[in-house]
Amino acid sequence: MSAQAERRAAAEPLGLWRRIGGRPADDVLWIAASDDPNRESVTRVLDVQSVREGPLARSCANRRVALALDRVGDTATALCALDGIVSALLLLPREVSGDERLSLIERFAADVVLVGPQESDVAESVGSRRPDLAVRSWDAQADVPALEPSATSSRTSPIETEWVLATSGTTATPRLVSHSLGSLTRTTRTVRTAPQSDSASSQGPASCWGLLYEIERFAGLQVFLQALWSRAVLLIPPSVAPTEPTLRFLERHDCNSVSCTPSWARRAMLSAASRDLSLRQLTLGGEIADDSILAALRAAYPEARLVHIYASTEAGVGFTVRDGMAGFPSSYLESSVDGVELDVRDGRLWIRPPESDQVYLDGAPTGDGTFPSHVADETGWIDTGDLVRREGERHVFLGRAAGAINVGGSKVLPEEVEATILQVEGVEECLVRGRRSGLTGELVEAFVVGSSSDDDLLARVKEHCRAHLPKYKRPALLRAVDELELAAAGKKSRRAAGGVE
Amino acid sequence: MTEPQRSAAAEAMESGADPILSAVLEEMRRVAQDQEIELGAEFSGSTPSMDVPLLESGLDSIGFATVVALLEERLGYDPFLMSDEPIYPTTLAEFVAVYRDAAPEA
Repeated sequence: MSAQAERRAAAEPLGLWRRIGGRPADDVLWIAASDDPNRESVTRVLDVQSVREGPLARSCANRRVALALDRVGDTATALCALDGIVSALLLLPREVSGDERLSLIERFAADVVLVGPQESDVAESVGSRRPDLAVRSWDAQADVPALEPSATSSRTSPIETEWVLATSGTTATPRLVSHSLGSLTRTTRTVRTAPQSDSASSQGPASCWGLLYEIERFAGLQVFLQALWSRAVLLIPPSVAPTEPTLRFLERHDCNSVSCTPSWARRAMLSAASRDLSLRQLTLGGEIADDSILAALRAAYPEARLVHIYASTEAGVGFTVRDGMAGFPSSYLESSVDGVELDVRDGRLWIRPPESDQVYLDGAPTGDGTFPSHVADETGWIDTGDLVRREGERHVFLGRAAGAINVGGSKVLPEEVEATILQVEGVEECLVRGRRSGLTGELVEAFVVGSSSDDDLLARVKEHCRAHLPKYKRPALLRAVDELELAAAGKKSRRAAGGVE
Repeated sequence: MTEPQRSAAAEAMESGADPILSAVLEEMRRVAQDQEIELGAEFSGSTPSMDVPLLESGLDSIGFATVVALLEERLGYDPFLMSDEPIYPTTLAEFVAVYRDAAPEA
């Protein structure tokens, strides 16, 4: 099948259950880690089928369902079991506060909230403040009180379920974005790696993906759908953080495909466990993949197909760069790539996906006169907010326009300063952010994680910045820290890097 | 630590003369060193001149903003962010006074 035909097949609506329902009932869909290594849970096709045909799924038919499930495997089961049955699914992000969750549930206009055993606070706050909403315990599958029949009851034929995700809100309050399964899986396809006859990596399952993003986030959902679409086993580690237990879990289960942020990869490579992974597929996304991280990964995983993907919760998957080099070929601007047209306006990247049915759910989705606003403009173009610059035959990413630090009227992109600092030998990780100043508006502040003694390292960083950056871009404050916090989406958190606010 | 200006500042602090002044001078010297700037003579000697314009120190606005940020970490407050109105001290005496006026009650 040609890539295009594959994409068409993948984009077919109503597809999730059809995709897995045709597999043998005992086929393993995913393996979830547990606190007790002897109690890892294995979910097979038949486990999902029993939920799909059970009373809980029936009671949710044609309703708007918010998922507040603490166990990742439960969310995965719910998505497979409820797609095509319920009218809309909201994937509630994990790390937002209780009030914010309630606000997202209300903006989504949920009818039913499905809660896991550790989410009793959600159940309580919904119960006390929105008693009109039905709260159902995921663990009480068999014991579901009947809901009043909904207006369009009966589940004779599958319907097209709306998938609703929250933006990561690293720069603002999270917004809800509604997708169709078709737009979510536009570029999802079966990964066929040529078997390597004399290599150990040809053993074991064809493809085995590690889930290194939260499944409720756009990037995690992509990995989940990719694993389902390619009949791979999905590995759900104890946490999405690049820790030793996570990496050991992946290694133990012969994980050969991962998708992560450059920050995640940089952190993981510091752990000895990462060297035992045999990767065939390594996908970077969410942040700028620069030459230094690409070169480091190529050296660490010479067998892996190294790609970086351009995507966002709002725009969906834009395009994939497969040549392993930073940025993208400028020729992408002339001919579309993965069906997506690109344009650069005032240094900002605009993209036009072949179909754009994503809408923001601000206010009520129907009813009170507010209509959902489309992510794309009326001509189908989306302003990504990412700044790019042409360098030779390529366009490279400079950073987020909205993330620029304003030092006395001069704009500084934290990404550029970070890339400069990361060139210094001994610097393992780095985060740059703006710090408020009554005199210049903002100052550049940098946090560095390094292998050598702090004083020596900081001196070399200062020296390097003096040689390579104009004065206003150099970190006015530079600190060595033990580690950086990675935000929920696996990206560096410029808001929460410690230090004085 | 044996540099004369450092010990002058330390002495001032030990004698309780003016801990804010010595903190300001120390951070100015640190920033000047980082930026490879030679501080004006009035600011580097053991007895700084309080009435010389700050600009003659050689530090620019980013330099002073850095001094203010370092002082916030050291003293725990930033009078320039606390104030509703912009403050423009022009001499070392005024700069120190801004900090003294904004100091939280002990």
